Amino acid sequence: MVQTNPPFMSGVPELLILRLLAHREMYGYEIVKAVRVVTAEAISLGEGVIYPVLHGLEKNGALKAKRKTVNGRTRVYYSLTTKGQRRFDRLSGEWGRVSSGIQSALGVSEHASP
Amino acid sequence: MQAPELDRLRLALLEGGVAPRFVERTILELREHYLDIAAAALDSGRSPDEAGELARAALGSERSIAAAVLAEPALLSFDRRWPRSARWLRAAAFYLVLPAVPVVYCTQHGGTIVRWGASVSLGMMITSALLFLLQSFIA
Repeated sequence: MVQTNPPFMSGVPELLILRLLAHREMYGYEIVKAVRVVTAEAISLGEGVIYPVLHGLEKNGALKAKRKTVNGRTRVYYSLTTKGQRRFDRLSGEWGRVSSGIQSALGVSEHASP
Repeated sequence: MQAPELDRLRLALLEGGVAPRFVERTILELREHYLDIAAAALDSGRSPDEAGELARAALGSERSIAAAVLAEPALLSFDRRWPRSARWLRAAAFYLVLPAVPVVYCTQHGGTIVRWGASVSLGMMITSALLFLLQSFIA
Protein backbone atom coordinates (compact mmCIF):
# COMPACT_ATOMS: atom_id res chain seq x y z
CA MET A 1 0.00 0.00 0.00
CA VAL A 2 1.31 3.42 -0.90
CA GLN A 3 1.86 5.71 2.06
CA THR A 4 0.48 9.22 1.64
CA ASN A 5 0.21 12.10 4.09
CA PRO A 6 -2.29 12.92 6.83
CA PRO A 7 -5.12 15.47 6.49
CA PHE A 8 -3.22 18.34 8.14
CA MET A 9 -1.03 18.44 5.05
CA SER A 10 -3.86 20.09 3.12
CA GLY A 11 -2.43 22.86 0.94
CA VAL A 12 1.12 21.49 1.09
CA PRO A 13 1.00 19.70 -2.29
CA GLU A 14 0.02 22.96 -3.95
CA LEU A 15 2.86 24.84 -2.26
CA LEU A 16 5.42 22.22 -3.25
CA ILE A 17 4.19 22.03 -6.83
CA LEU A 18 4.40 25.81 -7.21
CA ARG A 19 7.88 25.80 -5.69
CA LEU A 20 9.17 23.10 -8.03
CA LEU A 21 7.66 24.62 -11.14
CA ALA A 22 9.20 28.00 -10.32
CA HIS A 23 12.54 26.50 -11.40
CA ARG A 24 11.59 24.65 -14.58
CA GLU A 25 8.68 23.08 -16.41
CA MET A 26 7.86 19.49 -15.45
CA TYR A 27 5.28 16.79 -16.12
CA GLY A 28 3.28 14.93 -13.46
CA TYR A 29 5.57 11.96 -12.90
CA GLU A 30 8.63 14.24 -12.65
CA ILE A 31 6.84 16.42 -10.08
CA VAL A 32 5.97 13.43 -7.87
CA LYS A 33 9.57 12.20 -7.99
CA ALA A 34 10.96 15.69 -7.34
CA VAL A 35 8.69 16.17 -4.32
CA ARG A 36 10.06 12.97 -2.81
CA VAL A 37 13.64 14.10 -3.42
CA VAL A 38 13.34 17.71 -2.16
CA THR A 39 11.46 16.65 0.97
CA ALA A 40 13.84 13.74 1.64
CA GLU A 41 10.86 11.34 1.29
CA ALA A 42 9.08 13.07 4.19
CA ILE A 43 6.21 13.98 1.87
CA SER A 44 4.82 11.63 -0.71
CA LEU A 45 2.01 12.88 -2.93
CA GLY A 46 -0.70 10.43 -3.96
CA GLU A 47 0.48 9.81 -7.50
CA GLY A 48 -2.96 9.58 -9.11
CA VAL A 49 -4.41 12.54 -7.25
CA ILE A 50 -1.72 15.03 -8.24
CA TYR A 51 -3.48 15.65 -11.56
CA PRO A 52 -6.63 17.26 -10.15
CA VAL A 53 -4.36 19.62 -8.18
CA LEU A 54 -2.39 20.48 -11.33
CA HIS A 55 -5.53 20.94 -13.41
CA GLY A 56 -7.15 23.08 -10.71
CA LEU A 57 -4.09 25.32 -10.58
CA GLU A 58 -4.10 25.54 -14.36
CA LYS A 59 -7.79 26.44 -14.43
CA ASN A 60 -7.13 29.18 -11.86
CA GLY A 61 -4.35 30.59 -14.04
CA ALA A 62 -1.46 29.71 -11.72
CA LEU A 63 -0.01 27.16 -14.16
CA LYS A 64 0.26 26.86 -17.90
CA ALA A 65 0.15 23.44 -19.59
CA LYS A 66 1.81 22.51 -22.85
CA ARG A 67 1.69 19.15 -24.65
CA LYS A 68 4.90 17.76 -26.08
CA THR A 69 5.70 14.48 -27.79
CA VAL A 70 8.95 13.06 -26.45
CA ASN A 71 10.20 9.67 -27.75
CA GLY A 72 6.69 8.78 -28.91
CA ARG A 73 5.17 9.62 -25.52
CA THR A 74 2.75 12.49 -24.97
CA ARG A 75 3.88 14.64 -22.07
CA VAL A 76 1.92 17.49 -20.55
CA TYR A 77 4.46 19.96 -19.18
CA TYR A 78 3.42 22.49 -16.56
CA SER A 79 5.09 25.83 -15.93
CA LEU A 80 4.42 28.65 -13.50
CA THR A 81 2.66 31.84 -14.64
CA THR A 82 3.07 35.29 -13.11
CA LYS A 83 -0.17 34.71 -11.23
CA GLY A 84 1.23 31.40 -9.99
CA GLN A 85 4.39 33.12 -8.79
CA ARG A 86 2.29 35.62 -6.80
CA ARG A 87 0.24 32.76 -5.38
CA PHE A 88 3.42 30.95 -4.38
CA ASP A 89 4.80 34.07 -2.65
CA ARG A 90 1.57 34.45 -0.68
CA LEU A 91 1.29 30.75 0.27
CA SER A 92 4.94 30.49 1.26
CA GLY A 93 4.56 33.57 3.50
CA GLU A 94 1.50 32.02 5.14
CA TRP A 95 3.28 28.69 5.54
CA GLY A 96 6.27 30.44 7.14
CA ARG A 97 4.01 32.13 9.69
CA VAL A 98 2.13 28.89 10.51
CA SER A 99 5.32 26.89 10.74
CA SER A 100 7.10 29.36 13.05
CA GLY A 101 3.94 29.56 15.17
CA ILE A 102 3.86 25.79 15.56
CA GLN A 103 7.61 25.68 16.25
CA SER A 104 7.28 28.27 19.00
CA ALA A 105 4.22 26.47 20.45
CA LEU A 106 6.13 23.19 20.52
CA GLY A 107 9.09 24.97 22.14
CA VAL A 108 6.84 26.49 24.80
CA SER A 109 5.17 23.18 25.58
CA GLU A 110 8.57 21.48 25.84
CA HIS A 111 9.75 24.12 28.35
CA ALA A 112 6.41 24.11 30.16
CA SER A 113 6.27 20.33 30.55
CA PRO A 114 7.49 19.01 33.92
CA MET B 1 3.70 -2.75 -21.57
CA GLN B 2 0.10 -1.63 -22.01
CA ALA B 3 -1.42 1.08 -19.81
CA PRO B 4 -4.94 0.39 -18.47
CA GLU B 5 -7.81 2.00 -20.41
CA LEU B 6 -9.37 3.53 -17.25
CA ASP B 7 -12.84 3.42 -18.81
CA ARG B 8 -14.59 3.23 -15.43
CA LEU B 9 -12.77 6.35 -14.29
CA ARG B 10 -13.65 8.19 -17.52
CA LEU B 11 -17.32 7.28 -17.07
CA ALA B 12 -17.34 8.29 -13.39
CA LEU B 13 -15.80 11.68 -14.20
CA LEU B 14 -18.17 12.41 -17.08
CA GLU B 15 -21.18 11.37 -14.99
CA GLY B 16 -19.88 13.55 -12.16
CA GLY B 17 -19.94 16.59 -14.46
CA VAL B 18 -16.20 17.09 -15.04
CA ALA B 19 -15.47 19.09 -18.19
CA PRO B 20 -14.67 16.60 -21.01
CA ARG B 21 -11.31 18.24 -21.81
CA PHE B 22 -10.14 17.65 -18.24
CA VAL B 23 -11.45 14.08 -18.32
CA GLU B 24 -9.39 13.27 -21.40
CA ARG B 25 -6.32 15.06 -20.02
CA THR B 26 -6.59 13.19 -16.71
CA ILE B 27 -6.86 9.82 -18.46
CA LEU B 28 -3.96 10.60 -20.79
CA GLU B 29 -1.69 11.75 -17.96
CA LEU B 30 -2.59 8.84 -15.69
CA ARG B 31 -1.83 6.34 -18.46
CA GLU B 32 1.52 7.98 -19.16
CA HIS B 33 2.25 8.07 -15.43
CA TYR B 34 1.45 4.35 -15.18
CA LEU B 35 3.91 3.61 -17.99
CA ASP B 36 6.61 5.72 -16.28
CA ILE B 37 6.23 3.88 -12.96
CA ALA B 38 6.16 0.51 -14.69
CA ALA B 39 9.26 1.37 -16.77
CA ALA B 40 11.15 2.42 -13.63
CA ALA B 41 10.14 -0.83 -11.91
CA LEU B 42 11.25 -2.91 -14.91
CA ASP B 43 14.59 -1.06 -14.92
CA SER B 44 15.05 -1.95 -11.26
CA GLY B 45 14.73 -5.64 -12.13
CA ARG B 46 11.06 -6.37 -11.39
CA SER B 47 9.03 -8.68 -13.58
CA PRO B 48 6.38 -7.16 -15.91
CA ASP B 49 3.57 -8.44 -13.64
CA GLU B 50 5.17 -6.91 -10.54
CA ALA B 51 5.83 -3.66 -12.40
CA GLY B 52 2.17 -3.47 -13.44
CA GLU B 53 0.96 -4.15 -9.90
CA LEU B 54 3.34 -1.57 -8.48
CA ALA B 55 2.16 1.05 -10.98
CA ARG B 56 -1.50 0.37 -10.20
CA ALA B 57 -0.87 0.58 -6.45
CA ALA B 58 1.13 3.80 -6.77
CA LEU B 59 -1.57 5.51 -8.83
CA GLY B 60 -4.31 4.48 -6.42
CA SER B 61 -7.77 3.13 -7.11
CA GLU B 62 -9.93 4.62 -9.85
CA ARG B 63 -12.49 5.45 -7.17
CA SER B 64 -10.03 7.51 -5.09
CA ILE B 65 -8.81 9.34 -8.19
CA ALA B 66 -12.39 10.07 -9.24
CA ALA B 67 -13.16 11.40 -5.75
CA ALA B 68 -10.11 13.70 -5.88
CA VAL B 69 -11.07 15.07 -9.31
CA LEU B 70 -14.71 15.59 -8.32
CA ALA B 71 -13.58 17.45 -5.18
CA GLU B 72 -11.94 20.11 -7.39
CA PRO B 73 -14.83 22.45 -8.32
CA ALA B 74 -12.79 24.32 -10.93
CA LEU B 75 -12.74 21.17 -13.08
CA LEU B 76 -16.49 20.78 -13.30
CA SER B 77 -18.21 21.81 -16.52
CA PHE B 78 -20.02 25.16 -16.71
CA ASP B 79 -23.39 23.35 -16.76
CA ARG B 80 -22.59 21.57 -13.51
CA ARG B 81 -21.15 24.58 -11.69
CA TRP B 82 -23.79 27.12 -12.73
CA PRO B 83 -26.87 25.09 -13.77
CA ARG B 84 -29.30 28.02 -13.54
CA SER B 85 -27.07 30.39 -15.53
CA ALA B 86 -26.47 27.69 -18.13
CA ARG B 87 -30.25 27.24 -18.54
CA TRP B 88 -30.78 30.98 -18.97
CA LEU B 89 -27.90 31.32 -21.41
CA ARG B 90 -29.19 28.42 -23.49
CA ALA B 91 -32.66 29.96 -23.66
CA ALA B 92 -31.23 33.41 -24.55
CA ALA B 93 -29.00 31.90 -27.24
CA PHE B 94 -31.98 30.01 -28.66
CA TYR B 95 -34.08 33.20 -28.97
CA LEU B 96 -31.15 35.13 -30.46
CA VAL B 97 -30.35 32.48 -33.02
CA LEU B 98 -33.94 31.68 -34.02
CA PRO B 99 -34.55 34.79 -36.24
CA ALA B 100 -31.23 34.25 -37.98
CA VAL B 101 -32.07 30.68 -39.01
CA PRO B 102 -34.06 31.57 -42.19
CA VAL B 103 -31.38 34.05 -43.26
CA VAL B 104 -28.62 31.53 -42.76
CA TYR B 105 -30.65 28.88 -44.56
CA CYS B 106 -31.28 31.20 -47.53
CA THR B 107 -27.62 32.15 -47.86
CA GLN B 108 -26.53 28.53 -47.68
CA HIS B 109 -29.17 27.22 -50.09
CA GLY B 110 -29.43 30.24 -52.43
CA GLY B 111 -29.31 28.18 -55.65
CA THR B 112 -32.06 25.81 -54.53
CA ILE B 113 -34.31 28.68 -53.46
CA VAL B 114 -33.82 30.50 -56.82
CA ARG B 115 -34.60 27.29 -58.75
CA TRP B 116 -37.64 26.62 -56.55
CA GLY B 117 -38.84 30.24 -57.03
CA ALA B 118 -38.31 30.06 -60.80
CA SER B 119 -40.20 26.74 -61.15
CA VAL B 120 -43.11 27.94 -59.00
CA SER B 121 -43.32 31.19 -61.04
CA LEU B 122 -43.23 29.22 -64.29
CA GLY B 123 -45.93 26.90 -63.03
CA MET B 124 -48.09 29.86 -62.01
CA MET B 125 -47.62 31.49 -65.42
CA ILE B 126 -48.57 28.30 -67.28
CA THR B 127 -51.63 27.77 -65.05
CA SER B 128 -52.70 31.42 -65.52
CA ALA B 129 -52.28 31.13 -69.28
CA LEU B 130 -54.38 27.93 -69.38
CA LEU B 131 -57.10 29.48 -67.24
CA PHE B 132 -57.09 32.57 -69.43
CA LEU B 133 -57.42 30.42 -72.59
CA LEU B 134 -60.23 28.38 -71.03
CA GLN B 135 -62.05 31.54 -70.03
CA SER B 136 -61.65 32.94 -73.57
CA PHE B 137 -63.07 29.73 -75.11
CA ILE B 138 -66.02 29.67 -72.73
CA ALA B 139 -66.75 33.33 -73.37
